[in-house]
Amino acid sequence: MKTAMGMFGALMLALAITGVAFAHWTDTLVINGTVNTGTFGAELSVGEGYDNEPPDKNVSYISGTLGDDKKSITVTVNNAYPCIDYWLPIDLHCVGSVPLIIESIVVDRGNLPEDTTLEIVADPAHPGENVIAKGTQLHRGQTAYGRLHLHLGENAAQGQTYTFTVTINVVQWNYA
Amino acid sequence: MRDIRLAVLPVLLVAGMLLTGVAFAHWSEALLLTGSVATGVLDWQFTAVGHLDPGPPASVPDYHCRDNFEGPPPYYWMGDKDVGYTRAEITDDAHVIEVTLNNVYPSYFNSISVYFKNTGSVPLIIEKALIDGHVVMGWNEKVRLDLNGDGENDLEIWWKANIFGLQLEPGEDGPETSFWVHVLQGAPWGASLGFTIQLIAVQYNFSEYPKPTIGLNPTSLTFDAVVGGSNPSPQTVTVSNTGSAGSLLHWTATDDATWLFESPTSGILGGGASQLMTVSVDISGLPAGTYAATITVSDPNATNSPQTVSVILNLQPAIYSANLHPNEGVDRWGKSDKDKKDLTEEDLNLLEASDDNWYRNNKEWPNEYKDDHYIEFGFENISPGATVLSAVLKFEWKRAGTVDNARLSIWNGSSWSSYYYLPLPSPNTDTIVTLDLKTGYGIDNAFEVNNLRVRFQATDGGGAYTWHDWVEVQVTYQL
Repeated sequence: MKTAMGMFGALMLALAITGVAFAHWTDTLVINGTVNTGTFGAELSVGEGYDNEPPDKNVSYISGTLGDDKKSITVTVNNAYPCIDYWLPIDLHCVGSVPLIIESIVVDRGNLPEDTTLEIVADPAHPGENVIAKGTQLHRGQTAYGRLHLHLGENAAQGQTYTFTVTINVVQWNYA
Repeated sequence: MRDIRLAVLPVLLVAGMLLTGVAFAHWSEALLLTGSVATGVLDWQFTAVGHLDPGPPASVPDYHCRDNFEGPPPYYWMGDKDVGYTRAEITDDAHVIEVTLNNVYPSYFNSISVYFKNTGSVPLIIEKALIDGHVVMGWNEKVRLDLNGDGENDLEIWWKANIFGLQLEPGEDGPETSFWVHVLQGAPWGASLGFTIQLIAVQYNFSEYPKPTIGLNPTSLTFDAVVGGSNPSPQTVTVSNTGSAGSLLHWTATDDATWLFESPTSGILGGGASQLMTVSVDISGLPAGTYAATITVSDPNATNSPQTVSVILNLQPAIYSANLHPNEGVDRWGKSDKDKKDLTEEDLNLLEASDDNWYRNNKEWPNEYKDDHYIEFGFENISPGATVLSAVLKFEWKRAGTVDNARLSIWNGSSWSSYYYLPLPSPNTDTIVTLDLKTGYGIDNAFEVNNLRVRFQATDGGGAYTWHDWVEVQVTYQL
């Protein structure tokens, strides 16, 4: 047994030295990868506010000012009084290369009276087009249209200043 | 032991990913609308109060009236005593007026006027008045007050102002609002009688008052006038409130022309009521032409405000007439200067009127027409820019029996007309020839009138004369 093992070892050694038995050809293949990520972004724009005061009345008004980054709008309603509907057109634009989806619209009514209506609804000036509403998906360059609607009820106090916020959360389309 | 490790491992992995944000990172943004709502203010205040009987020192004799303010008009009169007086003041709360009658007695009367304005930022509508708590909501409504609670009425008040349903814009003053006060037989002795006045107003879009409707008749007016003439007669427009009985029209009229005027320019009308608005125009300084303007009648509370009346002013150019007399002329009987006579002032005066003061031509007429034998007249001028409407020549003459032919020709400044052969009157009988120079001779502008010359020629078989009395060109023209 020892003799056989010794012979095998000697044979391997001889082959290793001579290179006869294990000589072969080899090659290396390489995959180089580059990942260019998309961009994600949404911007707002705001139109001219209006209300349903009679034609001969114009004592109150609503207006909106777009922030420099186009991510915010400051809404102002002046000399408001009950039973008038105030409307402010708002557009939401998909400016990234990745589609977005409106994940949620969060209305914080602040100190507005309970009988106040505050909502974002479809803008009748854009029938059949994308609406600013939960679940609306926008591709690059597309716009969703809506209008902020404010209606003060009879509980609104005179000479008061009420504040509110509305947050529109948009996310990458496949993460909603 | 090994199995437990395997179970814990994924949990730790997920926790680690959550902490590092690796596994659930995604792109999102929050867009923000921040809003502020500043509400307006509904407010009104009394601004003034006045009445007939102020107290000392500005005292006047007391006024009186009958119970229930019965007639005849004007329902009250001034007496010869001055013992009672009234204090009426706006209180510290400018929404309340306090009225106190001092040393008054049954039949004492006063008329109190209050003034108010919308001091808020929202339009309002006056809905009612409170007289010591009694609600008054109608024009001509009367209330009686038992001020001391003894079961007998002490005062009666007649609301004389038509203000309920009246709408006031922010800052706008209301109309004078009057009510009458009369002390009744039940008034207590030795007591000051006092009460308060308040108005109740509501936000304009909450009023339950029916809205008025503006009615105008007619809705178009046309005025015709002539430049330099008198103004055309005024016309009227009926302004009415065609709304329901409880409505109140508080109308105002405006126009967009400096030459147009309305009177009155405002009014208050209950449902179904109407009044006349006089519309007049002033043409002073206006050149001829057609002018259009619009009268706008409005009430912010009306269902159909504003309504309009269209006004047209046709201003025709002035028509002038002038009787142009000869102001120069020549009587010629030959070519040379010695064979003519320039008409003198005295000669021309003979031609001014049909007065039988005759100018006789200087030399007998020849037996046939000669180019250098004629009498020629030139005339006074009209304004160079005039438009000639008509031009008529009046030519009065008579002849000796031997004058057997006569003719006229007209110079228009450029050429002579063809001859007009005069019908021969009976010898020594004057006749007036009338020639329409415009239609017959084309004299239709100021240049032609101002260069007009009339030449007369005659022939005479026996060598005689003609006589000339009245020569005149009658012109009408516009400037």
